[in-house]
Amino acid sequence: MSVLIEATGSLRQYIPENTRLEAAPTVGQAIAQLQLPPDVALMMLVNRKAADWTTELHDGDVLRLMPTIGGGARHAGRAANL
Amino acid sequence: MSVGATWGKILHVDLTTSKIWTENPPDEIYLKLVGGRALEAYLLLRDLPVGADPLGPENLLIFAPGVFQGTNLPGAGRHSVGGKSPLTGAIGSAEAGGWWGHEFKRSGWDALVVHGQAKSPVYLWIHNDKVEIRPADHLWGHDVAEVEDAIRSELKDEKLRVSQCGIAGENLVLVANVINDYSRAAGRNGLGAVMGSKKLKAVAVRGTKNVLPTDRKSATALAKWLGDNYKTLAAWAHDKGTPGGLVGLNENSALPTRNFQDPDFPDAMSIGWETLHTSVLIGRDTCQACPIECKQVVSYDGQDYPDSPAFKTQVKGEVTLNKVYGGPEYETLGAFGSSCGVNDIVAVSKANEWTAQWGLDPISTGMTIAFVMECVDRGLLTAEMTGGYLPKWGSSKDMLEGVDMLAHRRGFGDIMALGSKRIAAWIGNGAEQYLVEVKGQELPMHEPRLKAALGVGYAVAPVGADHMMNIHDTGYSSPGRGLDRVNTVYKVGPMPSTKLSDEKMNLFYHEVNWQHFQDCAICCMFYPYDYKQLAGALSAMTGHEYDAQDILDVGERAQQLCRLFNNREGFTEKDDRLPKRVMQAFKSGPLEGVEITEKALHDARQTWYGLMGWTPEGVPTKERLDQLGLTELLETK
Ligand code: SF4
Repeated sequence: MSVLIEATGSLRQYIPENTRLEAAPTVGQAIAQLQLPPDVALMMLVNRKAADWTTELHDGDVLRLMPTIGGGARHAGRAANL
Repeated sequence: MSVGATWGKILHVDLTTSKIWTENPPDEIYLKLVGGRALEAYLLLRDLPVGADPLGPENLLIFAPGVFQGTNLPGAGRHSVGGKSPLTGAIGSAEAGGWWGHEFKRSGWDALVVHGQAKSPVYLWIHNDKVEIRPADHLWGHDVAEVEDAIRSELKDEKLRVSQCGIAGENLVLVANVINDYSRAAGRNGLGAVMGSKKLKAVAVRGTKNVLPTDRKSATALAKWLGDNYKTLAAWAHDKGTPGGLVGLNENSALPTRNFQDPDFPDAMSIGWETLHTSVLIGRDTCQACPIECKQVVSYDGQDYPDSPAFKTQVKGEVTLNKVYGGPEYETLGAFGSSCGVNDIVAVSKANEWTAQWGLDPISTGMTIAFVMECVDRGLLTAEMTGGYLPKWGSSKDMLEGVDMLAHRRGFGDIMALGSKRIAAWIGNGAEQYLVEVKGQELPMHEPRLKAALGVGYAVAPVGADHMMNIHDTGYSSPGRGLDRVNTVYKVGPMPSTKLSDEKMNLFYHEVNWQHFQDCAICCMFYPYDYKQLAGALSAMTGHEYDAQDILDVGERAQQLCRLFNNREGFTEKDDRLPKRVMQAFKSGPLEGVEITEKALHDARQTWYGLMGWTPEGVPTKERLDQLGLTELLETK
């Protein structure tokens, strides 16, 4: 199995282009393998559909990760700095 | 006085009789309510007759800092303004950043309560113990910056701070804000109109008294921690500010587009941080004692930006931008931009500038114009009805014209000034199905279909749809500071942002109490503090011990009091609803098929009512009020 990871914004510094994970049964496990700093808050899309920590991943899936920030929100502080 | 960092004094001013008096509240008020929203709700329950006209002399306009103000705690450059909202008829309570709250607290007062209605325009001058009601005929009808500058030169004090109602407030526009420090707003709820109805143009303050924490060492240690960590923990706020997330939200179908109709705004990049920061942005501004400096400042004089590929404008040569009024936040970019289909960063920034210059709420103003655009699009509004104003999606000029008409109540602007819900009632003909509001207040720029508990938060917030006294589910969908903070009192793991559950509502219960607490002690919500840190700060300030649960209880007290107020004004469970449009699934895009059913909303609401100790009808029970020590407090007159 191979899952393509797309990172946006400030996450790009942690996730090089064309990163692929071979053994990542769920979004949560994929993110754990990426070894992001511990206090990231993320929005996740799998094949351009809303996903969450438990969403299952399959061969050929594209997992897109975005840092969470927005107006007036209570955010995990460092998320946008990543 | 035995509660540190407070004065034991509330200033009352009656503009009808010109009477000025001091109230000395018992310690219990400070210890249980801490200030801000909880204090406002308490005073409104105590002193405002049931069913009072929000724009009549009976309404109170309350300026309330909290325990933190005046102390130099980073994040405490804020204050709250409260009263009965003319937009919703429910409680109004809004916070503003800047310097005014700090200066006011240093003048030796814990709050200002304005009663009555002056015969002709006045302003208040509070200089430590000296309080004067001064004529303001010469300030009436002037822009915010002119008024602030005029007061400063008239009183010959460069350091004074001004909070004021803009022209919109004078005109009783129901979406008017109270503005301070040129560009900061106590936003939402139409409290600017309450100020205007009192003919109170401004409150100028100057304070030279030191507000001292009881335990200076602990308070200083927290300030030092912040100083050591803000560059990493709050870098997002400085580097990109709130506009930083706009494009990412659009990728998730969560950038409200054309009045929340579309799952995608193709020109998001043109109004996002990427364009803002390569075109009109010229610097940052800050609030009192804040090293983070998140406020964007813009300027424009017709130049081109070859290095900003997505920059677009329809108003080149017609519009300039004045840096004195700051710059657009995410909410403004969404409300005047994508919500109106407008991809023009200059026009959106201009609309933002006018909201400060004239004292308007950007979210409600933008969403009201978006609603009018939709009604025109659907043929519900005709030229005969609007005097010829037929704004089109995506037109910068139509959007800007709408802001101008609304603020000055010119032509159809006289109706637009009442907000979208009243426009729908005026139109009839089924127009209400296109409304996106709760309790009459337009939705902020956050999408309930991506953030399900935020939707419940919109439904139940005492002030109508609000994104600050709320949670943002995406902050808890992966491990991080959000979950770490909650886990100190309630253990929970990552949760899908699009789903509701009992567990999610438990998280919501804790975090919303936390948010309300921050509006009582008053701390900027962009700060990376956690429960324990602010409990420590409150203990250090007051000299009384608070733990994490104690401060969450303060936030809950604020909500209980707001609920008691709203219930007595006739609000019920039926008003805790969501507009249909944001419950139905999009037909395409990342959120395709994601809906919030009536049952899911009902169940989540009931779960939260239960956690709040309310009956299924949403009525606070005596047991819970007793537990929180509120019964006793409400009996104290
Ligand atoms: S982070 Fe921004 S809003 Fe908060 S106090 Fe600092 S400048 Fe003001």
